This record gives sequence, structure tokens and C-alpha cells, in this order.
Amino acid sequence: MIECRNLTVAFQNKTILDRINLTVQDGAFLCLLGQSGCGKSTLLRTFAGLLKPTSGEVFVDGKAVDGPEKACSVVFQDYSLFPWMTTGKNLMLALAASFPQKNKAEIRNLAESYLEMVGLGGVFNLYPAALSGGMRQRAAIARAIATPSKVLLMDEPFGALDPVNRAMLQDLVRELHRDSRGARTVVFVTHDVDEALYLGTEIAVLGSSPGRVIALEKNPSSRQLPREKLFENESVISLQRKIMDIYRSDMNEKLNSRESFHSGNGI
Amino acid sequence: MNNREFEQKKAKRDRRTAAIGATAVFGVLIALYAVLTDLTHALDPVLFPGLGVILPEMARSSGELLKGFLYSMRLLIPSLAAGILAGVACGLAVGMHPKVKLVLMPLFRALNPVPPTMLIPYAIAVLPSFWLSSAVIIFLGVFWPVLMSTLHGVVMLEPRWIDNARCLQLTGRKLVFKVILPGAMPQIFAGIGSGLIFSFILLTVAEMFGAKAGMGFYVQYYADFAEYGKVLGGIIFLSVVVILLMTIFDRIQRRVLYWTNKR
Repeated sequence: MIECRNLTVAFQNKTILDRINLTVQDGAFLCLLGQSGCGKSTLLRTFAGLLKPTSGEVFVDGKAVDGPEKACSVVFQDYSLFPWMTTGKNLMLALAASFPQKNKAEIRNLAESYLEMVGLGGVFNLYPAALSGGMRQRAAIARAIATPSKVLLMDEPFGALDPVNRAMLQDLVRELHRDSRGARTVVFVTHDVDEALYLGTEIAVLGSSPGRVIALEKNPSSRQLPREKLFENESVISLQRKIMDIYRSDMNEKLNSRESFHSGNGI
Repeated sequence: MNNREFEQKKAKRDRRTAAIGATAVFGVLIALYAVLTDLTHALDPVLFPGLGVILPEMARSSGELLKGFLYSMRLLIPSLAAGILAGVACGLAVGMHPKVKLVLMPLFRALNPVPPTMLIPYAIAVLPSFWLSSAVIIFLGVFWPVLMSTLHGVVMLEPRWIDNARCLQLTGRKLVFKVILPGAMPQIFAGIGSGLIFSFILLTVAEMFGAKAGMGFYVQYYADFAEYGKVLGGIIFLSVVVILLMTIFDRIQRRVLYWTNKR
């Protein structure tokens, strides 16, 4: 369970996140949805322990977060793999940190099997630069699920991918979460409403400047539906409409506020 | 895979073009020299003996040149290795501790530009042997650029790599050897490159005092006797050695920094 209480982040007097209160239940798949620059990645970084909030607290499994924890693994947009080691070595590095008691051969086997699990059988000895963006993200996901962490934090992981790859990886993540049967909690940052509707069991919409939760919606039906049936479902459609309306009014508000013109933060 | 093969082929072709081009440039320059000396005698024959003098001179003293090469390498390689190791080690240790760096940086800035050659009198006076004083001079010439570039490399590390390493719970030696050192490697190699060139210059300077043999010593020694055929032969030999060493350096660099080529 992830819990944040009155979480505020400010940089140089500019408030990025304003008193966020949010609880993510065990086994949930929460999508953090918001415009770019609204602070959704910042929020994820505080969950990961990469950023200390200015005030307020984050708890993972009841423990206050103070620096990166073993309980969380993170998938970044496009730099989860170190470019100077092969994909396999990247996985082995993460696994060796998680399982200090295992020997090198066991770690290697584990890395190979996780790569195979995400459909990357033959890439163990290839450098990340030799992989396509989609394959790199697959490997990053393999690395994240190979460690025994309960929480998976994903920061716009498919933002840079082409539509076909994005859809395939969304399916992969959805499957992995379903197969974990509640053992894994996922927080997934995206600005794509349809992506959030397809993946999330819960969707939190963040408003911008300063970032705050302006809506928290449950999305119970989407998990039962295959992709092509998703937008035929009444409750998903009405949720989509609702979120789009919230999104739009937040964006208009931002456009109307003169601040965005002066600060150059834009949309 | 096809793409990779294509790139390998292209790299091979580029290397061949470079080799042919460089050979052609050298060929033209040598031919020009031959025209100015052997053929037209336009240049002063004492200061600029023709190839007809230089080449036989080189062949005759090949034993001496080889001995000079070995002596020089015995001085250069340990000094170079020590300079690189010390520079990288200090650079990592200081670079990873911002406060220590803040305190030491003014000192580094002050000492870095001091030419090692200026320290020769002190090195000779303080250190027990000529070999050691020469080695220390070369060491310093390599140490400073490698230290500064390693510091730079640590600063320039992408913050996202550090985030990534923190998320993986990497600490201590793993953090240093798996993330910080390889991440800083492009800068470190730039520093080693300039240190290497500097070390060749310092090698010949260092061999001017106290050395009994060496490539720099050879040139210096015969210059005193105005035997310019041997002087030029020694310089040519030295240049060939430098080119070979730089080629080896390039090869190592390309292998270690493999990952930067395709990004």
C-alpha cells in the first residue's frame, strides 16, 4: 500500500505539488493522469524515494519513505538500462543487488528467463543501443519484475514508442499485473487518457499549477474487457467523457491564467 | 543484424580510406622532402640531409634505436600507467564527494597549469635517482589532465543514471565500478588522450637529463655532434612509435567506449 499525506513539493518558491493526499491499495493499478508539467512525474519520484518532499510524507507498506527502497522498482521513460553494459548484464546487475545470496550462474539463469518472459529471448548479449525503443522498454520491464519488489513505479514508460509497440507493451503490463494476482501494486504515469482507461483499475487526475488531485476514479470494468471491446462499454465511455471534461476545464484554466504565458511553461 | 553488418562494413571502409589517405599524405611530404634535398639540393645539406643519408643512417643504427625504444618504454609505460591510475582514482574519490571537491578545487586549479618541466630541478634535487625524477615528471604530466577530466566526467554524469542506480540500491564498489566509472569513461578517455600526447613531449624532455639511452636521448645526443642524419632518423623513428602507440590507444578507446558510438 502506498499512502501520501499532505505531500507538498516546491522548488524555489514555486509549488509543484500542493498537499496531495492519495492512497493506493495493495494490488491496485493506479494511473496518474495529467498534462505535461503538472507534476505527475514529480509525484512518482517522491514515491520512489528519489525526491524528498518539501513537507508531508509518503508511506510504502506503512514505512515512511526516506530514499529509494527495495520495495519499489522503477521503469523510466527511456533510460532504465545502462548503455555501457549488455541487456543481460543490466538485468544481472539489478538481480545481484536484490539477491545477494545467489551465485552468478543462478543470477544469469534468472536474467535469461525474465528476458524470455517478456519475449526477448535472443538479446542477452546485445547492448541497449542495438535494441529498438520497444525492446528496451520490454527489457526495462523484465528488470523491474525480476526483483521481488511489491510496488512497480512506471514513469511514462511508453511515451516514446510508436502506436503498435505501445499497444503490445500495454498488453504485456496488463497481463503481468493480472498474473500477479494482487501481489504487485502499480503506479503508472501517463498523459494519455485512453491508456489510463485501458490499464488502470484506478485513475487519479492531477490538475496543474500547482499539481493537485482533482479527481480520483475507479475503473472497474476495463479489466474484464479486451482492447477492442473497451470503448463499447458504457461505464468506460462515460468515465472517458468525465475525465476528458475535467482535463479540458483544467487546461482552459491554465490557458486563461496569465502565468503560463509569462513563465513559458505552456501546455 | 543486417544493420550491424552494414555499419561494420562502413567502419571497415572508413578505416581503409583513412589508411590510404594518410599514406598518400605522408608519401607526398616525403617526396617533397626528397625533391628539396636529394634532387635539387635546395635546402642546406648539413641541417637537412637527404633521404639518401637519413635512411642508411637509420638502418646502421637500428640496434641503437631499438635500445632507445626499450629504454624509453621502460620510463614511459610505468609513469603513464601510474598517472592514469592515480588520476582516475583521485578524480573519482574527489568527484563523488562534492564537499571535498569544493575545498580542493582551488588547489587543483592552481597546480594544474604548472608545467611539469618547471619542476625538473626539484625532482632531481629531491628524488634519489634520475630515472625516478624523469618518471615523476611524466607522471605529473599525465596525472593532471586525467584527474581534471575524471572530475569533469563525474560532474557530467547523467542524473538519470544516478537515479537509476539509486533505485537499484547500488552502493559502494558496485556503484563506482558499474555506473560512475563507465559513465565517466568518455571524459576520462579524453583526458588520457591529452595526457598521452603530453607524456611523449615530456619523455623527450625528461631524457635530456641523466638518461643513458632512450629515443629522446638519441636525438639530443647526436644533435650535440651535429649529426643531423641521425637526428632526423631518430625523429622519424620517434614519430613512428608515437603513431603506433596512438593507434593502440584508439583501438582501446573504441572498444571501451563501444556504447557511445551508436547513440
